[in-house]
Amino acid sequence: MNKQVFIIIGAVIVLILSGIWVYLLFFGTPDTADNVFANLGIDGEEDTTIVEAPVVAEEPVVNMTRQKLRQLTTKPVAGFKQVQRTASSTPELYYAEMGTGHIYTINLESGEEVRLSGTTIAQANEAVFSGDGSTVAIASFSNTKNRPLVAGSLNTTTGAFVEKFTKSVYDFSLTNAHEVLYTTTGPQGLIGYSNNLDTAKVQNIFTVPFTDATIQWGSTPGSSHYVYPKTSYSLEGFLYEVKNNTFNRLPVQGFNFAALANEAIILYNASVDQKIVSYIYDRETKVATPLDAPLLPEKCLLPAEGLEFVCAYEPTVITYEYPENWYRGLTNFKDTLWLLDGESMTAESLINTSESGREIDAIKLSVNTIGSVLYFINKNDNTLWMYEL
Amino acid sequence: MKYFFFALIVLLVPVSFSAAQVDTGIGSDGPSLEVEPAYPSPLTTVSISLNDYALTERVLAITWRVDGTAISEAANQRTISVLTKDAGVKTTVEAVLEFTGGVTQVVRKVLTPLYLDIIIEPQTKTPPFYIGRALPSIGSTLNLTALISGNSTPSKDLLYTWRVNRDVVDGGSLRGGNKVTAATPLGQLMLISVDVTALDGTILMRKTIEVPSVTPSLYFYEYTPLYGMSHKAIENINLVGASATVRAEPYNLDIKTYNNPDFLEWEVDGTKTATPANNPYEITLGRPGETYGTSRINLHVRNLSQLLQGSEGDFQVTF
Repeated sequence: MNKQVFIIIGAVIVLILSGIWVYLLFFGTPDTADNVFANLGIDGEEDTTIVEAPVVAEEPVVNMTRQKLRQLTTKPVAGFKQVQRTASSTPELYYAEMGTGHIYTINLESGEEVRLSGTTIAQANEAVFSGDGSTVAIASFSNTKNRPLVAGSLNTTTGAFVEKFTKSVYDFSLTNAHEVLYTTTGPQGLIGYSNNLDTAKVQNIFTVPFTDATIQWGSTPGSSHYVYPKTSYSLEGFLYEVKNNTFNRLPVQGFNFAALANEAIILYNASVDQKIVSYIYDRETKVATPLDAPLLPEKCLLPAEGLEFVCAYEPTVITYEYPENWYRGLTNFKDTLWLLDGESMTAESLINTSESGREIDAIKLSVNTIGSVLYFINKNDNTLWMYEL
Repeated sequence: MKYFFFALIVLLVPVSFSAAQVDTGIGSDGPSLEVEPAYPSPLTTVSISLNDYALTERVLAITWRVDGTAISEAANQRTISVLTKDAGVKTTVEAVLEFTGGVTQVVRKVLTPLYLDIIIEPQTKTPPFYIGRALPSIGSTLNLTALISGNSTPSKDLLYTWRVNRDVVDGGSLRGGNKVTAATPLGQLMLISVDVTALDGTILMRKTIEVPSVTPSLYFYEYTPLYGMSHKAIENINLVGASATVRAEPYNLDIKTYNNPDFLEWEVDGTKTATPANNPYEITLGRPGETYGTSRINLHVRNLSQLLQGSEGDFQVTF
């Protein structure tokens, strides 16, 4: 066959294929899917019922449940107080920022934080508020044991801080009646004073015949204050009650001695066989009962009355050196909060603070007036925390 | 003559009968009660023993009474235990001794428990935030205070005799001397004792305690202008910014040595560095350019007259 015939045959085939392609392009679409997919009858009869799409409840992205244990500040805190300006007002939490002495308030319902006072108290490291929040005393860092203290009134509307009292003090407290209780050192020991910020009246309230003392202040100048020589594992300590200028020895003592007292009980530590043992001394029955686990009174909160108290501690054996290593900042605790009953001698674990994901070494425990919320500072970073009781 | 003999009988017979019952208090000849400890504290248990070795007659029975109440379970015991009361509250303990022929003798002891607290305040260095008590180190000054509770006599009307080991402080008794100063002697332990005596010579209370003396130790804390000194001791500090200030705290170093050290030297990686002018215990560390690494910072402080008064310590800085 010659070349001409091949070309003619090829061209005819191409034409025929092109025609088929054009036909399929414009006329070849099936009317229904059934024309493409054959029903082989595998699945039986067709089910033509309409299937309702399932309703999927939307999960909120953010968990709005408030944890009982919450961090309140990221700033380090020198001191704080839950304040209720009037009987019907929303409770607020006042705190003084460490380092600057600026005062903030946190609305405990909305969580809003507002700065009340921008007055700077340089190197502020400890602050105490009165119950109504109208008075504050702030102490600053010092190279000596006596440190500068500034106290005054706080206008919670304008934020103005009016300084009324300034002195170098050894220790201090503030009453709800706007009285600064403080001690100064002298040759005869520690002298306790009360300074009423409203009337400027100063009175001597006690004299302690030694200087290196830890003081548990009472709520008024005339109430009981408890004093003991600072804690040491090798020097014995004793507890004294000072009231109305009388100095009364209480029947508890020991090495590594630290104590918290009220009218009913004394919680105190003493070393036994090179271990710390905590005791509850009943002031009525005059019996001291040892506790199963050692506590540090510095990490406890004892109310003015009653036998129930809260402590933060890590369930571990505290050896006789441990309190001093903690005081020096060489070691810290990972606390569990406990509610203890001095009458039944039972303890209830409230919460292991590691559930927060942070290491918490709780100090400066405090409760609100109705005992529903516990506040404390984390010694590791001085941030403020709360726990709903 | 018969009147003479009659008078003699009248005079002698009552005397012989009057010896049938004798109350013997403290200090009399004859039997006595010994208390252990001799000067009991309040609310403690003391042991009271009958000392009748001087008696020639045999004791047939012993009845013990505490505040007038007979203690039946202690009948015929030579030693009993008694719990003392609160400070200053007396307890009367009596032992009624029975001899042949129904003759009895009462021996009495009055317990007056007192608290005698010796408060030791060593004048050694601790940081301002430290809530523990300073400890004594060799050569450091001790402020000693004696507090007696349960006795109404003012302190100024009592005599105090202080001893450190065997040395009497200030050479003898001091009227009103409830506060004295002494130096910490050589040795790891020292005995401190005080006797408190009334003006009539009666010893009211006596106490001896054993006190250890420690070697000073050095710890380091970061100092910032905003917060002052941190409360956390550092062994390793990361230099995040351009510089950091670290302050050394020599715990329990004698204050006199701390304020005026004979020898104080900082070293960086073994090389002596200049002592800071403002505060010799404070060093400011700066990052050397864009370099990275670690350095060891060392401080040595010492009293060259009393070599045991000193300390050396170090920490690492990572930059």
